[in-house]
Amino acid sequence: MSDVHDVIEAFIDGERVDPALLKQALADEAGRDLLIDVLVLRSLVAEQAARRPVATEAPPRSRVSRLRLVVAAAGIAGLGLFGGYLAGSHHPSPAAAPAGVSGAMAPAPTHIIRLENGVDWNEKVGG
Amino acid sequence: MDAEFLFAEHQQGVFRYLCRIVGRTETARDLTQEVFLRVSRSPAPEADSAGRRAWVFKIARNLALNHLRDTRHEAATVELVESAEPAVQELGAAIRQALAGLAELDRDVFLLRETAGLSYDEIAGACELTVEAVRARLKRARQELREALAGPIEVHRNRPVRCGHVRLED
Repeated sequence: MSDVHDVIEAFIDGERVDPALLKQALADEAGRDLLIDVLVLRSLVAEQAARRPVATEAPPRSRVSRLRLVVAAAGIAGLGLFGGYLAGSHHPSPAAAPAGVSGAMAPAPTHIIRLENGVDWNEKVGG
Repeated sequence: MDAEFLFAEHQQGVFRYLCRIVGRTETARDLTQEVFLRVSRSPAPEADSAGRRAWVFKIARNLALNHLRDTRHEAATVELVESAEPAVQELGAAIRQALAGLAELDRDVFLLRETAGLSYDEIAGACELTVEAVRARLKRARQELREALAGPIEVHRNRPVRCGHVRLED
């Protein structure tokens, strides 16, 4: 620890220093400048550390907003499905029921075709 | 020595250090709680008070590094809101920027010294370095900060400063 800087910094940091080396370091203008600069730097950092930032918490926006979007989309989709189910179950409409749905009323016949034995019902072109 | 004693002794230093490292008060508070939760769950090392102090700060440093690693992609969203004058905010921003420009380990060594007041031995224990490496990193960090903050240092040179405790060689 013979370097002027090392001696000055050790002195400032409360480490043990050789008084003769310290005297020598302080005799050097660069050593004195360093002493003052390091003390000023320390006070600046300490002041800033003491002046704690307030309400500095920035939530992890990307994750939160994405999660919120997914939850909102799932909620809307779920509400839509549930609403559709409720509407369908409470207001059955035979006319609007799709073909093949059991329980829907078939329309009344308009023509009745009777099948007779011995008649060839296959259509023949030019027949 | 129990966890309560370590908490009472080092809570403020750990919090100040974590504030500087993570830049967010709430996160620093949560991490400080986590540090002492871990301290309470782990058997304290058989060491003197300096050794235990180094151990506490080693836990704090590891948690801070893990946190920074996990939230690296969110760095751009960090907003430091200060209730201070513009000039003070500007100085704060300059200091943060200068600290951010240091190598990670140099910054840790510097902050453990300046915000937590650890000795070279304690910093060496917390960062798993030799005392000589601590000395070299501290010297480099200060040199870079002196250059980066030359303006503010020049302005504040005429203000009264305080030198901490001093020990002369026996």
